[in-house]
Amino acid sequence: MTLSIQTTDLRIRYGDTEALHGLDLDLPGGKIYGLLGRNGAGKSTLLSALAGFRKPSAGTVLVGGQPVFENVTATTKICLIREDGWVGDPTDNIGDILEMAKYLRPSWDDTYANELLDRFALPRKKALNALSRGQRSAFGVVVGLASRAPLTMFDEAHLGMDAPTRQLFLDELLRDYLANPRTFVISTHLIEEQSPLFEDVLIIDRGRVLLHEELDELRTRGVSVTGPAEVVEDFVAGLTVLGRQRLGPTVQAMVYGTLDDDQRRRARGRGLELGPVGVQDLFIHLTSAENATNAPNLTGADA
Amino acid sequence: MSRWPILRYLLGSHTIFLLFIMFGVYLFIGVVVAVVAQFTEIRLSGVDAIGQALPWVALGYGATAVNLVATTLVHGRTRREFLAQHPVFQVITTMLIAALITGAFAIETLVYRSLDWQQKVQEQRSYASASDYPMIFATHWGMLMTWLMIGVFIGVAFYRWEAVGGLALLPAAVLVLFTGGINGFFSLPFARTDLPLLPVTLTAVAAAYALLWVSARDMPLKTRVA
Repeated sequence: MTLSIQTTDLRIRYGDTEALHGLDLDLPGGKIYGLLGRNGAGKSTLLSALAGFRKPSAGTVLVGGQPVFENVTATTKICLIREDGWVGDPTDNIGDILEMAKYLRPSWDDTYANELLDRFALPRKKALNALSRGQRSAFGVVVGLASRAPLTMFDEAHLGMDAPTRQLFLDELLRDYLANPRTFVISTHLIEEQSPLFEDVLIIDRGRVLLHEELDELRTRGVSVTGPAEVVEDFVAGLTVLGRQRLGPTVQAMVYGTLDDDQRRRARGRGLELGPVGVQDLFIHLTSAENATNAPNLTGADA
Repeated sequence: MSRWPILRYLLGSHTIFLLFIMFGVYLFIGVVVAVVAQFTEIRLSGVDAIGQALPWVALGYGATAVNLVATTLVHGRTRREFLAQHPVFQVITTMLIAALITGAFAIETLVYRSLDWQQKVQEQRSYASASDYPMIFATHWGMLMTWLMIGVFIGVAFYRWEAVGGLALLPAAVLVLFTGGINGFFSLPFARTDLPLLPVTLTAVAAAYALLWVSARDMPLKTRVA
């Protein structure tokens, strides 16, 4: 079972500050979405609204076509594991928290939860507040995956994990996604490490959707053009240049947009090197102060 | 989907745990009384004396329930479910604890009588003697329900509004004083003692629940500082 996500004119205010400014989303179910954004962009606020943790100030949130806030039919199908990793009472041991999850989650898979505890080498008898930061995050991942919720979201759930544990998390997520298709949303700052998992990428900036694209499509939209400065500048004139890096007489310009065959032929003919742009590079440039305000419409409908 | 999952979880874990703890407390009191009896004459009910701590225990335990709200939301449940099911847990659990306390009074009466000890209770209590079992049960049940509900309200208010949540202490204090003179567990000189126990208790519990409902019905779940 997979769940779609729709938000319409979603606004969330904290006092005088508006964290989400009329955010519109339409995400089909059954995909792994990467949610990217700079600090304070509104990622956690958006996920909290999608999970029913926070009531929207205005607008609507539909998951699987149903409103979420205080709607148990919807919330039991949604699982959000947040960066703090607190998925139970801090003084409860993790075995007791899993026991509680069994009562509360209709889709809970207890056998899988116990397998994951072993895989992440987590001690069942230890209290949640006695776990290290990385262990607590790993336990959050266990709860998220074993929830088997049709919409499962991880908000920086990897914090404190060492590299092998993070890899185990990503491998396990992909393995379980293939075995039990559902909708995943992964919010992360580890873009290069986690982006290979994503099918779609969603970038939000200052409370608005800046970009929604398939990962493969996004990758083709960025081209790095490298060569002598004058030749590069001449070539990219009139294109959307996201940024430049200079090393002596050589310049690498990151261009947003596809190059047609003629442009590619022309570039090669002038001795320029064309290469891919990393998702992280695109993200950095798209969300940098000057680019974010001047960015063309990059959402899926127009991109 | 199974019905009343929060209630079933609480009854299967918290209620049993609390009953075991209370059972242990009263066993411990028995041991303390036996030791004290070696040195002095026993004139007071040990079970009644320890009762003075019960409202504060109920209040403190209630205040921790806000962690449970947060946890149930994380596991896909709603505030509305919590607000419907936790009070039922409170009623059942406090009733069982009140029954256990009443039983402890009865056992103490038997022991004290066989040893010819006096079993005096605090003067301000609503029950006249340690063998007034219906009143002992009703008083303890009412007191525990009231203080527990107030504790849950205070915990939620502090979680939601942080320092401003301290304002919750004002209505909480009013409710405690309102009921304290009646059940004899928090009796100040100016407290009314002539009101009927049941209506006063029900009014106080309902008022505390109304305050809790207002505080929790759309409470946002916060991210804890790691």
